[in-house]
Amino acid sequence: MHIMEGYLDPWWCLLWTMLSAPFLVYGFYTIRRLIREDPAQKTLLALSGAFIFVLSSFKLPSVTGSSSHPTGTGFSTMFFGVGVTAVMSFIVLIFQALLLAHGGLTTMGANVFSMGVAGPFVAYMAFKTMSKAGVRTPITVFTTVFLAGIITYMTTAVQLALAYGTFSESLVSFLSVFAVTQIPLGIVEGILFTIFVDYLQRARPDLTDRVFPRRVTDES
Amino acid sequence: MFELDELAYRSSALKWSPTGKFLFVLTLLMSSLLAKSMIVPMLVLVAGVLLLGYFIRFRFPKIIGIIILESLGMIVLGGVVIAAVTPGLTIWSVDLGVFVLTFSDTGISTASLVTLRALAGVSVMLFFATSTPIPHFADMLVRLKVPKEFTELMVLVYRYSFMLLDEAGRMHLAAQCRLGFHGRLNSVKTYAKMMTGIFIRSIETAERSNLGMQCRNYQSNIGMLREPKGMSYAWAAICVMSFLLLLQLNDICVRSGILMG
Repeated sequence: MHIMEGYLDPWWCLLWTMLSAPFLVYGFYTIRRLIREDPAQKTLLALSGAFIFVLSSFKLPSVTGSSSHPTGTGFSTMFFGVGVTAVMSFIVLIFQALLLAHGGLTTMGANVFSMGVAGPFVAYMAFKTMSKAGVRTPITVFTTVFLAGIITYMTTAVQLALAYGTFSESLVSFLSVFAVTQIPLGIVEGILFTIFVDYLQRARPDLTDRVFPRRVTDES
Repeated sequence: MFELDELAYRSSALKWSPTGKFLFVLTLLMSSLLAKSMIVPMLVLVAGVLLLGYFIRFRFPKIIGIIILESLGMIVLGGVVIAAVTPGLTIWSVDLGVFVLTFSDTGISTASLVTLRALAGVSVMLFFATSTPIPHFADMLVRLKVPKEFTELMVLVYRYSFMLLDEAGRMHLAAQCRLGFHGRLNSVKTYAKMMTGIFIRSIETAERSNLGMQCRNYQSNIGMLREPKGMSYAWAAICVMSFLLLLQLNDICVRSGILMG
């Protein structure tokens, strides 16, 4: 899922790190502001990060017979926005690289950009547009989570295609490899989070009301 | 994760400076990345395997095997795609019915170099993971003047992960006992229920934990029983020397055209 250590040349590593840096800085200042306003948010943020990490350790069944795992960034994007998701992804990626040798240290910038910036950014735009348009919660959640996952993989494919071979041909090859497992996985993850938000709305509406304000039709 | 944490706390390299180890790992990774010859990543791979093996007394636990096998799968698949997409003189092609997979000379050498770099990266990172617990890593970040809020958040995420994994394990077992994973649709529903359960319980834990920490006058400092060592000049010298040596070796190999990627 993430670009492994050694896969990108130093210049690409530097470029992706520079592109990710402003989002990380913005996210960090958002987190600092949140914590200063309400110190209790610190534990909530940490638990959300832990939740993303634990989720990424669950293997989901995939159409190809292999298994994959949810990223959890769609959920984090809806609840905290792009900046905080970028920082959370950075922390989770550090753990995945250092504890599971999944991803890498030199490719960290590229992985943060795909998982913590590009995917969440597009998903957040879609989420805001759909929320304003009054689209029903299950459709909004499914689309946001699906986009967060798919755009992450598409960005990874672009990053690899830029680094190897002729861009257009390489992009088709990398996208084809990812599409086999990631489109079914994105759909499964979308369904999973739609059911999750539905259960959460019923069990702890106080947590979801800020993100998904209940309408008369929903309550009925 | 639990096993890796235990390994890190049992490792005899635990006493070494985390900053020194991290800089050494980064030096090896950067040297491997900058090299155009396969000799350097090969040497880094050997160094990584020897360091990893020595500090776990060459008794590779199951978790290390799983991590290596998973990484190998991804690295090999990535290598095949890189070999196929890199243009050059075609030396081998396979007709797969739907499309023809062609491998060029440049593609194969690039893929070999990248595969070796990735394998070297995995071995070196595993050495770091099995000898440095995350609280030591966070202590290193504090010494490197990384903002306190970030390091604190990192340690808290790490500590809460253990609690959640423990909870998730119990819920998974309970769901399995009730045939919760019988069939694909049922599995998805069970996972969603589990996620909700874990999330709600994690919120409750957060609230209790926050209250407990406030009662104990928590001031954002997470103490450790034994403070890890700081960075020394010896580590800096080792890093600079190994970087220069590996780059010099790469230069010699490039000039002689030995195992070029």
